[in-house]
Amino acid sequence: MRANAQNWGMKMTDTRKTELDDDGLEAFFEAGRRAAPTPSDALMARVLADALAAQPVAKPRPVPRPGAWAQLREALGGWPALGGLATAGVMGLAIGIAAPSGFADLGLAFLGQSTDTYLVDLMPELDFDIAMDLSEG
Amino acid sequence: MAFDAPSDLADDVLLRRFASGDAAAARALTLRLTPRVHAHAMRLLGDRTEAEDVTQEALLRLWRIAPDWREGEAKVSTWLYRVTANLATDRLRKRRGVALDSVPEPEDDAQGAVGLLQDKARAAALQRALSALPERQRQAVVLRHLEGLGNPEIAGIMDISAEAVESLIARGKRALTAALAGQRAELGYEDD
Repeated sequence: MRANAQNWGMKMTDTRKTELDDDGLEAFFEAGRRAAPTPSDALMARVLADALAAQPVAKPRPVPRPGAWAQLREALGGWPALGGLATAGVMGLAIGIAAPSGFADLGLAFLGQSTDTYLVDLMPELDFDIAMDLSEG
Repeated sequence: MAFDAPSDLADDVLLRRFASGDAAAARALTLRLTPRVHAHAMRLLGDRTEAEDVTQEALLRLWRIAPDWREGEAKVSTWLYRVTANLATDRLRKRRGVALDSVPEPEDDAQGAVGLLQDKARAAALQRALSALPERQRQAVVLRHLEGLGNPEIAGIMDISAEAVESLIARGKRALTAALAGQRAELGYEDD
């Protein structure tokens, strides 16, 4: 039946035209269609009120619980604080790997020229062993 | 979601949105469906008060069934026409036994323009003739010639075969023709 829907529709239109031209009913139907009853505003309001009253309440969207990282971030002061922290970390690493030449001068300026004052021979016996090896050899 | 206006959406899509709590969908469905249901109820019942009650009841049933509506299984309009017709039939059965004179006449507002008056008179005459038809014939004729539906949909609404729809419509129209034949002259058809 469904497959013939189109044919039915066409047949309906054709049949209606010829039959109704004959019996004059179409003019009455036309008048009936033009004089379609319209619902009053009061009815529209009643129907809408029913609709809103019967309508299921929209479910509120669940607020996601912040994860451990989010909580840590907030504890540290949010993204700005984390940004500063990350910059400081990267700078420290960079200085550790390849200190700019200026940093050596900076160290000297702070510590002075007498850095050798702090040289300590941690293994003096090593010199002795070498001396013994040489004297025996 | 904000980009597609509710008026562009199919009935069942709007109904799904309605069921999920969308108030705009409730308004759009009310505006779209109430006039259709009301017009059908009026044509089946011929009485404004009863038609309004049936309209409200039919749509209330739709609002209640909305959360369980299965998209694509049935057309919302088909379901509504069926529910409206069933409710109207219940009313007509209660009315049975009441004298024919007390069946409400179609309302006929006074109009200034002669053409409009004639149109109204014709529509009123049709409504009186329709009211005199057996219920099933009236329903089939109204669905076909006033609501403009095709046979397959009418068959689905009335739960009968398309051939049975044809038969009902043919008998209904014969009866209408007979009832209206005497009124053609007085309704200005000599001028057409």
